Amino acid sequence: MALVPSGDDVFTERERDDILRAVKLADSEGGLPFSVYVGPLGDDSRARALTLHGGLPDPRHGVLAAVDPGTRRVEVVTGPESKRYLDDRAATLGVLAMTTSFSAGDLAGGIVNGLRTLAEHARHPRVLHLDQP
Amino acid sequence: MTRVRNSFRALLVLSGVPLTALLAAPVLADSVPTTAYDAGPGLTVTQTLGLFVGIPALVVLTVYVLVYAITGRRGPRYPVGAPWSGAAQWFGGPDDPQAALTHAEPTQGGGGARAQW
Repeated sequence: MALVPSGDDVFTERERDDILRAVKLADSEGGLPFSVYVGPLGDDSRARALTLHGGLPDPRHGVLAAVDPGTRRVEVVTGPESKRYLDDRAATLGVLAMTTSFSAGDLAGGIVNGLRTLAEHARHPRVLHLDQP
Repeated sequence: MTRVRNSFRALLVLSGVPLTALLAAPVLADSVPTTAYDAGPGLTVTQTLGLFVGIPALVVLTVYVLVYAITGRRGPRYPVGAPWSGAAQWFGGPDDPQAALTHAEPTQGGGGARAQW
């Protein structure tokens, strides 16, 4: 299995741009490095998603959304640090936003919506010495 | 009193209109050349069809071709749920996914969510 960042006919050029823009926007808005993987996850999708998350440049802070359209599975993985800002409840909301669009056959739209939801909920907790004037 | 005034007004208007037309007629006749109303020979059936059917059809065809040249180049789309055949795509992932995954350890102590649709 070749893992290339681009170059297949699943997404149109425009959809790919939309996803890339959503990833960048989520990075800046949520303050965490977001990443989206679209491809096969195998039988044990959770284990595969955890390995993919481990392959991120910064797994502790990174958030990975792994989508396997072939088996219709979505996995959102947060690291030990990013888990503090994006808890499992927020991750579930993001997954829900994705599957809603996926059910209608809109793969790219679901990813964009999911990223938006995840980024909205990835709020950094208030820190006394930074947030207090 | 009012009746007299109204009658006067009606008389003025009724006599004014034909009078104006009468006065203006020779002026119009002199200033407009008679050739301006010469429609010339009528169009043939072929010319009429070309003008009122051919040209609009050409415009519609041009727009159709332009629209499909721009948007119709997409190949067959991947239907969700079909077996995945192509390469995986990773947005915002590592620069070299293959190398990154050979050393990757599954993340421990994290969280997340999962679903199937």
